Amino acid sequence: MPIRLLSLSVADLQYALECMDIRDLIAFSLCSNQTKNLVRSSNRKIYPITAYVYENDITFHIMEDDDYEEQSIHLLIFDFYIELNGRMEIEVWRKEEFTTSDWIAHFLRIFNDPMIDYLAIVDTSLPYLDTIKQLFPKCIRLAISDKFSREFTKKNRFLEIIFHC
Amino acid sequence: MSSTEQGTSSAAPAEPTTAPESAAAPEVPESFYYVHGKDKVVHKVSAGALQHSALIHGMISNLGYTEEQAKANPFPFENIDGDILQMVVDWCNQHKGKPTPPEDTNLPKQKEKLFDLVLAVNYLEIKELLTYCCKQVAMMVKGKSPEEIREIWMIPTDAEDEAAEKEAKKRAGKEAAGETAAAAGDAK
Repeated sequence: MPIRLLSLSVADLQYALECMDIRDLIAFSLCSNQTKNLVRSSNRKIYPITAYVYENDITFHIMEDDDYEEQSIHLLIFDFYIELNGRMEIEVWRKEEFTTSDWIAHFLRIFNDPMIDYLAIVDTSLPYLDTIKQLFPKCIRLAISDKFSREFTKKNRFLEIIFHC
Repeated sequence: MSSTEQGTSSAAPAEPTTAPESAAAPEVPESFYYVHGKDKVVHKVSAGALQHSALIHGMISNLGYTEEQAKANPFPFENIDGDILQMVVDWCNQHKGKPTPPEDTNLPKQKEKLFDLVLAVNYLEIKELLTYCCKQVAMMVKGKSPEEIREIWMIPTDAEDEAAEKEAKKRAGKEAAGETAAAAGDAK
């Protein structure tokens, strides 16, 4: 039988959220705007978020502050759906109204992170670079794989990105 | 063993059956208090067990009841179902004077009871039990998808939240208008 969780007192609700692991907390945050705000106000501490950009997807690596490997999850963002590679199986969560930028904003927002800590451009085409710049207007550290850095430098885009970070 | 008497609802309850505490009786006899829930069934609980509840402990400290007075005036908790209060009393008895373990396997497994238990435990201010209950609540959605979580925890969608907010605003507006009309009527 279901229970009406949001009828609990704020303190009980927050304690229940504290007992949830990072994967369950993200799932809960995706239920509604209200749950998103609850997760945000829970102030869950995580390791600074890292993101890896590939041609077909963006992978987020989110890890609990206590750095247990089993507490970390990998989220692959594909426009309106994401794939979770946290445990034994791959899960797919959809939000039809979401785009890639909505997912990124959501993850940063629920963990009160103003920006990505480490952004790695691993494998992408040059035309996609403008989109990446829109998706990640700021980051603390930027890495570009050596496979593409020469090409980026040649086009002067690489330096431009560095300058904006 | 249970220190609960069933079906007693009068101000002066019948003598409850109490299991012996241990072979070696303490030098100072333990004091007992009485509580009842919505079903009026009176539970006899030792002061030691009731120490888990900050609310009842505070009530006892302030009242300074003798055992006779306590028996004649059971603490009424009309907002708590009888079976839930029974669970709480059992838990307090089981953990009387003992350090609470990090995990508690004696909590109810039925989800429908768990929610009522959280509300009761929150009201009675039993911190350790509340901790266990909240953990249990969190475990209900372990490994579930957002859709499954929404169903299990009855979370309204954004559209439902918006509709409810609109409805609440409409009702508040009507009430305010009603009050204004009533005030105008009084003035006449």
